[in-house]
Amino acid sequence: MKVDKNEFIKVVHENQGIINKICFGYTNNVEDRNDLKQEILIQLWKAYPQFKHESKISTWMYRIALNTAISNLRKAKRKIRESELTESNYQIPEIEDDATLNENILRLYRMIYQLSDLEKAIMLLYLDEQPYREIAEIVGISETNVATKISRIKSQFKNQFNKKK
Amino acid sequence: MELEDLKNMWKEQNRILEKGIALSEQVLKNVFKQKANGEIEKLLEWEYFSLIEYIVFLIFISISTYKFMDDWRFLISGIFSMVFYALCTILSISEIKQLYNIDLFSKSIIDTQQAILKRRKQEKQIIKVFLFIIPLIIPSLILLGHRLVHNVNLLDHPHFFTILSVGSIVVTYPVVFIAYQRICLRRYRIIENNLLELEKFKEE
Repeated sequence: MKVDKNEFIKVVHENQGIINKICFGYTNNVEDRNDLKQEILIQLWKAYPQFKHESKISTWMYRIALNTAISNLRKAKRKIRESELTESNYQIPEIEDDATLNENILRLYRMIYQLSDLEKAIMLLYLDEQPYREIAEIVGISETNVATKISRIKSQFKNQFNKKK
Repeated sequence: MELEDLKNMWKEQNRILEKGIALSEQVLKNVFKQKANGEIEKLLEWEYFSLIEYIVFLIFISISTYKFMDDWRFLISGIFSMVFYALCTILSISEIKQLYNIDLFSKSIIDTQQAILKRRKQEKQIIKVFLFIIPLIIPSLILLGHRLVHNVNLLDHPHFFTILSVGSIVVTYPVVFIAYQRICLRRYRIIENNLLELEKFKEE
C-alpha cells in the first residue's frame, strides 16, 4: 500500500507535542531523548499504512509512542543489568536541564521520571487532559483503576512538591 | 502548589514545546530511510539468525544422511538429527509469524507489553530445550560429519567413537548448564517478574 509521505509529515507535525512529551517523560538526557524520538517516528511510519482512522490519530500515536518508550526503557535497563554496576547506575538520574522548560515543569518531569513505566503513561495522558475512558483504553486497565492510580500519584506528587518547596 | 496549577502550567508549556522543538524536515526524511531498532525487531533478528542456522544444519545432515543411508546406523543417526533440526525450523518459523503479529497500535499498552514479554519468555524456554538437547545431537553430528568431510567411518573404531561421544557429552553438559544459569535463567526470572508486575498493575 502506497503511503503519502507528505500526509504522514503533516500528521506528525500536527501532533508532535505527544512525541516530545513522551520523550521528556521517559528519558533523562538529550541523547536518549533524540534516539527515542527517532525510534518512535520510525515505528509510527511503519504502522501508518495500517492506520484506518477508526480511532483518533492522537490515541493511535499515544499507543505507539508509549509502547515504544516502555520497550526501549526495558531494553536500556537490561543493558545496565548486564553491564558492570557502576556508581552512576546506583544514582537516580536527574533530568538534564533544558532551556525550553521552566523550573516547575522540570520538577514535574523529574517526578514523572521516577514513576513506574505504566504510571508514567497514565500521568502523561492525565496531564494532557485525556478522559479517563481513553486512558483506560490506551493503557488497558479499568476506568476505576485509572482513577485510583491517578489519585494515588496526585497525593504522592503533592507531598513531593511541598517537601521540596 | 496543587496538581491542577501544574496542569495549567503544563498546558502553557506544551504550547512552547510544540513551537520550540519542531521536528526538522531532515529528521523526518531520515525516518523514511532507517530501520526500526525496537524490542520486536531485536527478537526478529535473533529468530532469523536461528532460522538460518537450523536450515544450514538441516541441509548438511540431510545430505549426509542421504549419502550414507545404506548403513542403517547412519540412517538412524541422521533421522534423529534431522527430526530435531526440522522441529527447530518449524518452531522458528512459527515464532517469526507470531512476532509479526505483534503490533504496537491495535491493542492496549499492557496487552502489547505482555505479548512481547511472553514471546521473550517463550524464546528463553526454546533456548533452554535447545541447550539441553544439543549435547545429545553432537555424537550424531560427529559421526555424520567425519564420514562426509574426512570419509572416516567412526563406527569402525567403536572404542574411539564411544570415548569421543561420552567425552563430548561430559564436557558439553557443564558448559550448557553454566550458560543456562548465566544467560537464560536470570533473564527468564526478570521476564517473569515483569509479567507479574503487569498483571498486578492490571488488577490493582
